[in-house]
Amino acid sequence: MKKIFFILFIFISTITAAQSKDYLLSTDGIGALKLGMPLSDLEKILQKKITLKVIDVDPIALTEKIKAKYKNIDVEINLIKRQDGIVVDGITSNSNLCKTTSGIGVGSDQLEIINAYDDYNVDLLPVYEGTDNPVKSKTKKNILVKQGAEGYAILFHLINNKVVSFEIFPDFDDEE
Amino acid sequence: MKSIYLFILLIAGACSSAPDKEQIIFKDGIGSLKLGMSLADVEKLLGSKLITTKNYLDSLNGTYEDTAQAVYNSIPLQLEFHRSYNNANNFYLRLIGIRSSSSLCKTASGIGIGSDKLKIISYYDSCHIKIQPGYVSYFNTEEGKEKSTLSIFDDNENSPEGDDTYTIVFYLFNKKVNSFELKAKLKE
Repeated sequence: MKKIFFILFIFISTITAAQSKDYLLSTDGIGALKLGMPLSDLEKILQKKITLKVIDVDPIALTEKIKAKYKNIDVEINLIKRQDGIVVDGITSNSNLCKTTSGIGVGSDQLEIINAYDDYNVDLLPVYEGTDNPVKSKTKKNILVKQGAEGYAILFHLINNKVVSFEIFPDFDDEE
Repeated sequence: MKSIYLFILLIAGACSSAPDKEQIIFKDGIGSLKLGMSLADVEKLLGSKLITTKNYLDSLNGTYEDTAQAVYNSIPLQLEFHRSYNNANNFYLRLIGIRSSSSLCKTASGIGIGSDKLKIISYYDSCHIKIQPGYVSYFNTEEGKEKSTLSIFDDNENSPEGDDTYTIVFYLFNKKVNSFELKAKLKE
């Protein structure tokens, strides 16, 4: 009986570890879903053929947003057509399964993010609502985290000081 | 005789304990010293001629900061000036940066040398706050494990009209302020 429990314990631990690796949130992606990944690799990861409706259909558009399921979580993926092909340029999700190595994810607060990214570049950004005369939101805030002044970044969206969703994207200064 | 001694003692006591005057840090200056002032106005306020030295940024790279060391109400300051050109060969200097590590300077809410990072974040909660590792100043970063830079941007930062924008920069060591700089991006 003890042996069965032991084997079950090992089995559950292995599955849990594999799952948390699948959902590991970092500045370069979620698990195996990575920024810069070619479309063909993305299709392998998602186990699905992606039919583009904008890129290569609209002669001018170079970007397209698609909705997909990655390991049973909902994600939005930005694609961009570069000279070397179509690649992943952004990933958005609100799944509470995705967590950074330090446990930051949906539900985390501003202080936890600041403490977790002590040696990173962190921007606490007010959110403006409305188009004609935008007003600073009293409940919403974004927190941008990246390792250097430029590079891959995570943007956490907070409402009432709790993360509700996040985006991962390359953040470079266009002026250069 | 006793009353003379007492009088002298009182005068001496008053002189020795007279505290240096604290100055309020505003986003656009310290006390009456305001960002955007011309070099001539700054010299008038300080009551002395400033020696501006080209800093290492103002070399062949084409950047235009000039630096001067100054004392304002007993507070040592480093001042940065920007050249505003009237035409190709005619420019005047305007104050765009004030840096100090004096404990006599505090914001109206009491933030100054020794203040804690989280206290600043909490006070300026509605502003854009940028936290960077190392001491970041203009194009240079002085690296160091316990060093970080915390900048508070004003709401004009993204103004489409290109209004004057001000930034308060706190340089932290071990999460405590050890110096600060007020910066301005001014309309030409």
